[in-house]
Amino acid sequence: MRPSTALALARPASIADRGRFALISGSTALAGALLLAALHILRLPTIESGSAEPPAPGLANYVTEGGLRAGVVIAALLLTVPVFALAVQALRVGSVARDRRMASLRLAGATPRDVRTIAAVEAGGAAVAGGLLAGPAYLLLWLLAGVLPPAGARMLATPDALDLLAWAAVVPLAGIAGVLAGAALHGRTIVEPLGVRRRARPAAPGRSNLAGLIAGVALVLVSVVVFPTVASHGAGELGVLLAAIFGLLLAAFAGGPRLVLGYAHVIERRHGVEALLAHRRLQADPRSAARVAGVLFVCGVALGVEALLIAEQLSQSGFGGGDGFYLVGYGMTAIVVLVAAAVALLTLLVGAADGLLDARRPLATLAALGVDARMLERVVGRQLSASAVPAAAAGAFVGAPAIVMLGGISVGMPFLLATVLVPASIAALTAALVTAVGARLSARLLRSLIRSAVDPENLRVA
Amino acid sequence: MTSHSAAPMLEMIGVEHAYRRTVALRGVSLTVEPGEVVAVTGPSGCGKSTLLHAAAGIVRPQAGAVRLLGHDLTALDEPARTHLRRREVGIVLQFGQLVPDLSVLENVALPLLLDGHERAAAYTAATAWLDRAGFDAEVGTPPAELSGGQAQRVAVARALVAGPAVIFADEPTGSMDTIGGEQLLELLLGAAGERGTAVVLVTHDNVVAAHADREVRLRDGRVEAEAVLR
Repeated sequence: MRPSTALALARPASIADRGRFALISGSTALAGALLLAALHILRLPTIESGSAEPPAPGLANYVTEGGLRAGVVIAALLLTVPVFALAVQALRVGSVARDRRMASLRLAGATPRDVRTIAAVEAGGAAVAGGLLAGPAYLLLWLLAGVLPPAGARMLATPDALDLLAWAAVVPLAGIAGVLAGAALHGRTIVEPLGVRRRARPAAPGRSNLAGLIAGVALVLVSVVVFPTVASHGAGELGVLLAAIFGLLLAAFAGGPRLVLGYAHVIERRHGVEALLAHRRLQADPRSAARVAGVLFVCGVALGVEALLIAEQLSQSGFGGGDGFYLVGYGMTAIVVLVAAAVALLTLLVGAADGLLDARRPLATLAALGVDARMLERVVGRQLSASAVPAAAAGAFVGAPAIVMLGGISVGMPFLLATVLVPASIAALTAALVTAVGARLSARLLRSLIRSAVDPENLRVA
Repeated sequence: MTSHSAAPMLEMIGVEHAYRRTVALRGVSLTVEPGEVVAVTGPSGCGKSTLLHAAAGIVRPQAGAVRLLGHDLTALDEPARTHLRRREVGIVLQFGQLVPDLSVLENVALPLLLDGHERAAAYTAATAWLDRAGFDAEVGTPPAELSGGQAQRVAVARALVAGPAVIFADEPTGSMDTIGGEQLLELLLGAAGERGTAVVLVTHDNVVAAHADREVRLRDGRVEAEAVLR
């Protein structure tokens, strides 16, 4: 197939195609802007660096002090994770209609490789558009975080030529990532010429998941043990922190399917037909839910660590005197966690909405058998809760204490389990409450879609 | 389950329905007595499936009256019609229309689970009906891995499992070979006969229609002819 043909066939044609394109490019633009911000902050001169160039005036201590800057950079990088998860979810929007179109192309003579190429080009094009939009998005971010805040609270300096270079690098990188993601996601679908589409059965979490989980946990452990030896060593410290974050993400994403399916299984055993339907819907496609669960687990860990640090500070000296500085930091961390959780819940919402649109005929069959819209809304609510609540709560109650206690041991200041349990429990309850409300709200937002999905006239949908 | 009385099981009077500009039913009237088997026949696009959907309360017709088991379906809202279907109606849709997320066993047990039965009891009953329907594969199989004929057997078992007062079947043997279809039809009509269950059978196959007590032939959304077969 000629590249021009692939480009022409990959061009968004329907409303769903254009919506998918906009969602992918929008989320890629946001992720690119956050990446540019992280790179920009890393280049800022610090107070301790002894650089001839003084730190830009008006910047917050959080970005001009080397020890604190690592945390800000990591927060910006971590925020890209849920945004990328949203982009991956967006890639799957309208997949049933797209698969039908691909089957038509196969019937017209396209090979499996051709349809994979079309899928990859489609995703790559949207990602390149997102990369191009990352520049303007970064300028917007700069306005919000580098211009509007008062002097002394700004996180970004005026964009310069190096930002432009970084942007120029982000565009092709986004395109490559899009092409790879598009090809990989399409690889799970077998499109046959006669319009018969067999989606490969989703594998239950297997050895690769377990290996990822073990490797992630091991990386976190090693990073925590090594951290005291590199503390206050600039790049080394940031490197170890990034390794720990990568390990945490790896463990969270590899453990996501087990967590979601395990929780759903427990609920299904205890409850009736609604729980059964919710569990089976999760089993049919655990990947989207698991990605969100991974993000929310990390959000839970961040919230839990923050709660433990606040509790520790309260038990020592409280927040009197000049400790307002730390309050700002805790506030910023909470905002970042909330934004990440909100993006994750939006991803869940997009996935659930797409699932409802794709499954109109089976859902209409359920309606014909006696499942009404209210019951289906409860099923969807359970499905969303199972994806969100246990992950966020487990991150706060299990992940955070484990990391803080191990960190305490490695720096010779062990935390007592008794002192950790109360703040971790409060953080876990908060995480569970916030995500449960978010899941319930998402189900409410889907109400009109649920009502149209169970419309028995969908039995006529081909 | 509602006890069967002398009143008609189903009464449709002057039913009209259209999908945008396509008129599917033009003043169709039909009565089905308890325990009666009625075949609705006619060429493709004559309104057979729409008639079945209107009779089962799946779609609300735009004009006319539908009374099912004494309930005026046109006066009931969607939740009420859904609950009535859950309690009293067994449905076999074209191509089986199984719920893809559920296993074969769960699909058949679903009407009982929706009715509040214990899971173990529902699965036991579902297994028994699958056996009677001649389903020969693993009951944990997902519907996507079934042949058309297997899916039809599962759909028939699902329609029968809760002991409904009336069964609406849309081309129940459409995906099956002659012998398999004959066997499945015998099961469906035999089980219905044992319980006095009425059956409305939509088909374009004269051999299938010959199993009915009465045939109602549609053309262009109207009843073209009616014939008593038994």
